[in-house]
Amino acid sequence: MKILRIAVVALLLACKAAFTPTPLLISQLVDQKDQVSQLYMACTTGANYTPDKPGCDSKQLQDKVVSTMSLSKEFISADIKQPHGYVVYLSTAMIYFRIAQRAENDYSEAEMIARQFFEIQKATSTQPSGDARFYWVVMASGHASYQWYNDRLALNADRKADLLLCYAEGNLALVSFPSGPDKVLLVQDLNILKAITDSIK
Amino acid sequence: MIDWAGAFLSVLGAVSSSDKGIDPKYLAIKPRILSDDNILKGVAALRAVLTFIPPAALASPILGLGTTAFQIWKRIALMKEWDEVAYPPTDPNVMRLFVDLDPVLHAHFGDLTAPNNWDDRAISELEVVYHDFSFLTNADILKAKYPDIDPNYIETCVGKNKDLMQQNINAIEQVLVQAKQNPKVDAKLREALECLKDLFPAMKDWAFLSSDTFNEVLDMIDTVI
Repeated sequence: MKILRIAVVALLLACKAAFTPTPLLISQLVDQKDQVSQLYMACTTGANYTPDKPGCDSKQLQDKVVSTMSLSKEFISADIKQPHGYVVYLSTAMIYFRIAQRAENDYSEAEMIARQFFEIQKATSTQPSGDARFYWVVMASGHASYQWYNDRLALNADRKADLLLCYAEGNLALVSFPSGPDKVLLVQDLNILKAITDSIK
Repeated sequence: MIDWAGAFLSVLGAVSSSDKGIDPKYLAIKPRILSDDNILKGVAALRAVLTFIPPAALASPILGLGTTAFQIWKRIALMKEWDEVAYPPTDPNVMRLFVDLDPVLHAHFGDLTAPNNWDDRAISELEVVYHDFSFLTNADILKAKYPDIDPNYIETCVGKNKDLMQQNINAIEQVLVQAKQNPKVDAKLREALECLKDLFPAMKDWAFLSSDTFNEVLDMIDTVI
């Protein structure tokens, strides 16, 4: 009996050590996201990324972006239904793809996480949010554009079906999406998705 | 007699992964066994056996929060405003494809998108072009900046951008009407206008859309900036 009692306690402590719960991560995640934003703003002029700008530390920005994306994934896995982890991951991924290397694995993962965000929202609420649709369109158009140049064979009939679904959902988001630069980006990315899907036989 | 085996199983059952609610093929990131949802279930289950286990030996930080406090804490933590980046970065491959698929832009900037030239320098140069043709609403500015590009093409681009601006203005007008009633919203609106002013250098071009409400927006911008 005593052994079992010790085992229960040990199991609980082990669980706690191995899986830090979300409340302990959120402050850290918020801080990191704020730091990424500040570092990125220091490296931009208007809408353009200018790493040569005085005060810009592109290396630090890149390191912070990577660690924030990693922490966001921890946050998502702590509660896959909660939107905040997805929003932080995906908004940081947008910076990542602008400033860092652009590889198939990174694109693929970002698009899958955006899709998961959309599907989770679809399954748990009556309507997925505009954010979920926006990020799916952004990540899908980025990934598909990458495939256009580097892996054209991947743009097959199955991929076309996925992209068309994404395009349809993106158009739904457009109807009520808040005005501003994100909306401009959404429109442009939808145009890219349309052009790519039209080209797939 | 304490049913330790039962307590053990009830804890395990409470913290096990459940109700994902979506097709597993869309789960790029799998939920941890000790997700928030499951912690709350675990808190309830652990309380059932709390009397039989020395409290200090338990995962006290989790239990200490309690179900209600846990939710309140989390709500407060998550209510923090996100520090939004005013200008969303554009994916370089999207910019590249946009230029490649556009006959006019490709004729002028196709050298930047060519595989042998595609590097950080090309991306930076292309980014400026992409953003100019995506955001600017003043044809004169674009014509002056890109004298070699067909003026008719520029007019078409500007027309599209203006259409989108019109939607933005309509939305701003609606917010403005509401803002009059609420000082807090009014302050937020002023912040938003500041961002817009930065984003759209040709904002004065919006004057073509004259209305009382719009003039009020311009007055506010002049006050803010």
